[in-house]
Amino acid sequence: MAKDMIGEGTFYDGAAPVGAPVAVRLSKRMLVIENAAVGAPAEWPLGKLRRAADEPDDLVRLSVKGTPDHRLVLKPGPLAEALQEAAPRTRAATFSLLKSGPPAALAAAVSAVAVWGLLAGAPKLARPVALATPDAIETRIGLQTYRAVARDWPECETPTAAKDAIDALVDELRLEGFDDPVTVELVETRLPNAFALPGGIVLVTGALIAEMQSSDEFAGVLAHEMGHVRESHGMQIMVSRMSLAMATSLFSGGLDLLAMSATELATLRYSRDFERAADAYAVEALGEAGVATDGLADLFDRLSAKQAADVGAPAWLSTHPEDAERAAAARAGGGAAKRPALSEENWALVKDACPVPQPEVVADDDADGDVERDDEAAEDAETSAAETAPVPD
Amino acid sequence: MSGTREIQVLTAKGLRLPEPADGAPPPALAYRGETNDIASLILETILFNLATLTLYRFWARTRVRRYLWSRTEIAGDPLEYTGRGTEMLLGFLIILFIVFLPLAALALVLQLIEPMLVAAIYPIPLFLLGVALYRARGYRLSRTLWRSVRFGQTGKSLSYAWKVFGYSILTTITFGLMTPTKQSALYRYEMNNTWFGDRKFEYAGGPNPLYGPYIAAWFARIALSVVVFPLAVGVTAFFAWVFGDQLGLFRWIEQIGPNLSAAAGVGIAALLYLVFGAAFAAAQAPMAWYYAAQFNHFARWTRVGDLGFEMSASGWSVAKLVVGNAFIMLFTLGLGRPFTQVRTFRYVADRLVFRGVADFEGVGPSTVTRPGAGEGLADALDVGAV
Repeated sequence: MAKDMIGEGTFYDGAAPVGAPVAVRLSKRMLVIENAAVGAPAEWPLGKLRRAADEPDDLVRLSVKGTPDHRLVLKPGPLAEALQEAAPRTRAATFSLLKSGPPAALAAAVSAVAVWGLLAGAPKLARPVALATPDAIETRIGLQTYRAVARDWPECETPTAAKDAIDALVDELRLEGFDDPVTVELVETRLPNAFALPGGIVLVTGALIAEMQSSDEFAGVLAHEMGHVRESHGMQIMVSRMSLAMATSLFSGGLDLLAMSATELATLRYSRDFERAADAYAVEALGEAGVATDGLADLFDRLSAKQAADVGAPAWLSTHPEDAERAAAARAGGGAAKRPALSEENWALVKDACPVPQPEVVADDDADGDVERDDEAAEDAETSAAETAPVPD
Repeated sequence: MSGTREIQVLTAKGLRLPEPADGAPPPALAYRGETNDIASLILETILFNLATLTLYRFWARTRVRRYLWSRTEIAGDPLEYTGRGTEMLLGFLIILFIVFLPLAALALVLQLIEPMLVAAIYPIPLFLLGVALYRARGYRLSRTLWRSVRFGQTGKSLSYAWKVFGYSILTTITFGLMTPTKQSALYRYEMNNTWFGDRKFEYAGGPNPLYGPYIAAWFARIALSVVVFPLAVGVTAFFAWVFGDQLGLFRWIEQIGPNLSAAAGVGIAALLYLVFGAAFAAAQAPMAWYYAAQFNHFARWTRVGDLGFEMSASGWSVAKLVVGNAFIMLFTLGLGRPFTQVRTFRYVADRLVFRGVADFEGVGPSTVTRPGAGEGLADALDVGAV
């Protein structure tokens, strides 16, 4: 721009909705309002100019940083054109998918990293929080979850002798330094499964007991669940889900379903580590107690054979490490068995405590034969947690 | 308000306003948007919303508003929207940390003490709804500007929320019959706290003229419900008979395997929702005539200085607007919301005219305090529609 340009405009002072006609001069760095009567700062630096509104006409409505209520409207003409050439932010907004592609891709990448960080970070955060949760609170959560479950799954009528025998077995399966309370309940349902709720409440379903052929298998299941109790896995899953739910509420706005499935997948992967840890505890505790680990291995084999016959979920979607791998690990880890886990009489009492489930005609979707599915327990825990946290969707 | 001001309320036709001395017409209101612009803007914001898992929504909303405002012209000059996405993000974060996380924590504690106590928290979001609506309105007004002069809102969001809460209870226990009183009272509070520069808006109307249209709509709704819901049940039963009993659809669904049956179940549920949703919407149709009457009444009794308003909404046009917008939202899964806003802006601009005299020279600068952050609560409660 060799020479300053002259043009016309209308100035508004932010006080009254009445424009004053002004003469305007565009220099190399400034837009200068020549009409001194306006009483406004007469020099507007080009770098501080903004387009104030995108009008359908070619009027250029400008504001300037510093005096946000002042407006200068330029009529179409060479000055307005030259100004838009010199100061990009005075140009009208245009919308173009082509232009927004790269920034959108960048935003997507940043979002992906943030989500990955959340999914990976939540479980790591959950462990210290779960372990630091006072026992009283954990027990309350466990009891409430149990009450919610108990509506559908009544407790089996377990004779006192059987209860005592189970309690004694639990004590024998405690490893050094594990003295959290463990309460075992046998419950009536068709779902062959066992759960460790927060607060050391272990549920074993009648359907699972019906699958068992020896008290060693029962001891294996108990030991596995006690492994979950010792590490507060139930609480950990609950805390990680809740923190993820809170984090996603930050983003929320229509993609809740997506966020939930991501949470679900993350929890599944992370549960597999818990299952391995619980298996490891079970093998060690059974060895210490002198109970054969073959029972646990047999149960894995039998259930996975049943599962294979069924059309089940693909293995990678399961919470559990490959069953064969688990069975092998259980067999390999066993020490010399000294005795059956329970006496003949007591095992008979446990076996008979729950009514034998009637065989179903249609295969139950959930009866996929996993020995322990803590995601179920966690879901129940989450139900109660969800009730407590009316986080906006 | 000001005791010396003469009473302007005279006839059912509305406020008496001075005739322009020189015969100059009052300023015109126009919406001058192009569908093409908004389509590419919407596509772009959808792209960014997906890429950021919807966190971009604050900027998306800002851009859409900036567009809508700039296409709305009064006397040839556009409105300006000066809000920023960061202000809305900040508002959202503030609300998240001072309202929702503490509320969630309280709920958690109550759940541990006694699960039944959690129900005590349920009215809180209902109450917050009023706060959210009023604060969001205040934010939008404070970011709206015409010919360099700002709009603004005074009043207290808590007072407004109590009104919403109290009148909602009253309307509920009177089977809706208090609706005109509620709407009129809320509109009065809104308008009598709305400013353009140093000029306050005034609403001088009352609910009484609205009771005729409301009661007509009330009875029409009952009459329609009596026809429409049995019809919906009949249609459902007929199709269940044809496809289920005669063509064996249900048996076939049972045989196609658990996953496909579940999908079919979802499909059937969706159809049921559609049929009964349509029945419900049809039964609500008379309300369009009430709302048309209400818009016209409110406009007629609203003024800012010597400038008044006249609205010519009709029942059919309101029904078309509402149903059209509902379909847009439904078929675009909510992503097409800006299209519904364009329709609403155009609707109002086409039907609202000014009366009286615009004394622009006499307007002074706004002294209303502007909120620094915006609409967090409205976003969190999902009522930040515009």
